[in-house]
Amino acid sequence: MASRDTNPNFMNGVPELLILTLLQQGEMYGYELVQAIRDRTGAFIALGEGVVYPVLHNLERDGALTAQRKAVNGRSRIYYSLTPIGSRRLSDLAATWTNLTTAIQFVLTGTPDGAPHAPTLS
Amino acid sequence: MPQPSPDSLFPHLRERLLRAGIAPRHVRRYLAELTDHLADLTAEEQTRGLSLSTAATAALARLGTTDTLAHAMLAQPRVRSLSARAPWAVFSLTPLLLLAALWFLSLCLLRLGWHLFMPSANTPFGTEPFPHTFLEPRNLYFQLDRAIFFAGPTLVGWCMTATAARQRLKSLWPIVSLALLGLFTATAQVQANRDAIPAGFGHIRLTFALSSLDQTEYALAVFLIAFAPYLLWKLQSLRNTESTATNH
Repeated sequence: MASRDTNPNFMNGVPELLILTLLQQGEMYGYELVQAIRDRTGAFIALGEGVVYPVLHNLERDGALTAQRKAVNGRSRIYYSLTPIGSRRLSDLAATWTNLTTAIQFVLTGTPDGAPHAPTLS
Repeated sequence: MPQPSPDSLFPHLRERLLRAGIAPRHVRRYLAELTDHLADLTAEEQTRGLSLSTAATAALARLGTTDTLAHAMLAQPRVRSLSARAPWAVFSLTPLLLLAALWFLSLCLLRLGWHLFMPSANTPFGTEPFPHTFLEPRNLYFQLDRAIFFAGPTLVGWCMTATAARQRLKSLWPIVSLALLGLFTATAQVQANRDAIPAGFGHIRLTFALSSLDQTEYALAVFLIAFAPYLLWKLQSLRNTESTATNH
């Protein structure tokens, strides 16, 4: 198989967060999820598309998702949907992610909201 | 056009995941989902005007390399099978528990049959005249009970070898299972008599003792009968691997 550029650095926990966020809006199958991630991030987040499934399996084992096989247009698809455990996990992850981005922003710009330094008078 | 099977599309990925201890049901579902995803990607690429072969190549590239797909699954700690995480427990305790359950069922049936068909006999073993016909209900009942007792170890052995084959485990583990099964089967003795208990309710006892060479031969026979299908599968797998290597 030919390889494709992805951005694995800084991606720990990101697929999980994106998947849980998207499934909060309704059940989806893997291809739909990957399409949605690409559309919502303006294709900035490029995953090897198949890697979404192990994350889904793991979330299902943790009780954060349920999987249900459905026949749609003659094709059998596995739809995933969020459980109450998954909703709680999403809240925790989102809070962690918000704190992390705020902290990184502060390191990069010197202010929590990313505004440039105000000039200081000496 | 019919969709190709997941096994034909991702044979190397399947073997790699199974050998690494990923539970077979997760491997099966993963490959099925990848196959569906690949079909969707190919269709999407075709709508952009690519030919089928070019679209299929582009779709494979978007899906990820075998390494990427394997690493993504191996990074998930919860999808490993119990037989890969604790083979010593699965292949030593499970066969004995299954055998105990089957023998318990068999001895319960023996007790029930004794009560129903031979209420006055001191023991259900060999005290009644041989039945006139094979199809006599009493004979069928006791033959079924004997079949559960004596075929049970082989059935359990086949379950354990099938588990090892599905997970691509080392041959050591099914051999441990079958050795234990052979040992317990060959040394098991069932005794049933009414005299042992004064109230006359009847008493069935299962004991284990190695007292003759015949029992060793019996243990070996159980082992070989249960091991034969696994051995054939193993030889076939080796032949397939060699022919694949030759073709490459």
